[in-house]
Amino acid sequence: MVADTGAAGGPGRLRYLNRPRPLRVETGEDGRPAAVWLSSGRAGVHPGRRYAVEAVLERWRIDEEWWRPRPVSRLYYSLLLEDGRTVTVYRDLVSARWAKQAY
Amino acid sequence: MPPSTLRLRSGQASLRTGIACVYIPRFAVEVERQRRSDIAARLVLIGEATVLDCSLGAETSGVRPGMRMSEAIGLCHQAVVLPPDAPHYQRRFEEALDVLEGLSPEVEGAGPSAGSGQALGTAYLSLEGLPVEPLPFAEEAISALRRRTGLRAAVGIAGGKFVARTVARLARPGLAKALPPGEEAAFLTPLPIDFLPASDSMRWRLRLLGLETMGDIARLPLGAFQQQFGPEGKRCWELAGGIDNEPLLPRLREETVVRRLQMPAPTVALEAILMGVERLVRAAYGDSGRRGRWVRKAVLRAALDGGGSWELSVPFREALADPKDAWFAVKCAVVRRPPERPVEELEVELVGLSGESGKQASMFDGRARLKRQVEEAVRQLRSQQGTASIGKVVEVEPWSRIPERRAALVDFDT
Repeated sequence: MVADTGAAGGPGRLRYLNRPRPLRVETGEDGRPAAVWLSSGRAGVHPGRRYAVEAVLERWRIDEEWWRPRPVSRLYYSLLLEDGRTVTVYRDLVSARWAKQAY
Repeated sequence: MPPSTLRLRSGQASLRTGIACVYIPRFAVEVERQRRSDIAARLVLIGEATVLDCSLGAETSGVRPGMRMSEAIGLCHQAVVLPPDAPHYQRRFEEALDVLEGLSPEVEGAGPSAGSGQALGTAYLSLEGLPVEPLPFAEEAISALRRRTGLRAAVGIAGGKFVARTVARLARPGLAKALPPGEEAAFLTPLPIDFLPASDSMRWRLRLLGLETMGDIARLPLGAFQQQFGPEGKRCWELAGGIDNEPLLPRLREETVVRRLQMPAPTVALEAILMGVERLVRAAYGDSGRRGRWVRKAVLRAALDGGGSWELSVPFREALADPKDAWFAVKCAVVRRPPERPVEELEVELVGLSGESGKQASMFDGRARLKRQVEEAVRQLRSQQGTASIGKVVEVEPWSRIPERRAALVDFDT
């Protein structure tokens, strides 16, 4: 009988990159972002600074995996901020939460 | 099931030889319930066109393994119907056999691969030469299985496999019973023919002839019985009379290399699945357990979203030492028959490791040299940083509209 060397530890794991980060967003009457709170440190550690949105450059929606228990439905905004930066944020249409994510 | 008139011993027994049959009733249902708490109190049917296994409640409603699924659903329409997950059952059964092998050097597993629902979760242990009393030994087997796998087994001890299995099937889960030598025929006489390993058509014909118990069969002359039922009839006639010389065939454990990868989210994308399989094939080939030997076959498995699993066996035309060659063969096979539902976890197992040494990679291959340099850099980083994990970025679904699905970090060794 030969010893089994097969059990090579636990499963390996893929960790997705570019995961969305929760974001505090103020919205206008039309529901579009009016200001975002951006932190230079780790998310959730520092409250961050408020940046007014100068313009919404682009807006698009993705609806994926609608057949799954947790579908992906997001409304993305590419925003021009008051300091000249552009950021991409989205509103999760399932949980109604905002997040920041490069697209 | 009629009460048996046998004198089963549940106290001390003097058997020092024979076979112990470990029987885990409703094995597939039990392992499904272990991984799905939501079906703990539900009636469960497992199978596709026919029922492979069913819960006790479903059995009480008249469902039997082998019955047509439509008929079974008609009998208990509140049951949860699950697709069979044979690789999972096999894996769990191997775990149980591993536990039993710690108690006896000779263990035979009649697992799901045996095809019959009744064979699920049945194992035989040789008691030959064991320096322990059979009943305490059997109780230890029950207790070890319960402790280490969470499964409740019954154990039957007798001189042969068939009688031991019949004793175990009649015993309540958690109990061990021993049949003293010489009492096999008396024990079997009142039992119904359902215990015999006969085909459905043979059982049907037996009932037509009014043969309902094993005693009815054992009383007939062998010649006449064999004339009616052929070799299958001869075997059943012998078993019904307590004659069972079938040897115990200990399982041969093959040396294998296994690598697994958990997907961050269930995926149906073939490219993502192929990427995962490729990483696993390369990681398995790089495993120290392979020790440079050639590989004859790769077995791919996947846990699927919503339960069930997928398995694909890829035998190589010749033993392969190079992961690139193996990956090519595996990729072709996966493309031909990909998983049909989203994949949650992937597994690659290399089997048939041959004694021949592997082909050497060219020393002048630029990619090989670069790979060695990277590996050396990683080794040095590890020696400086201790247990810090080192990863590499891989494309998963670069076309995905969901940004975080496009690339991932994977352990460097995977």
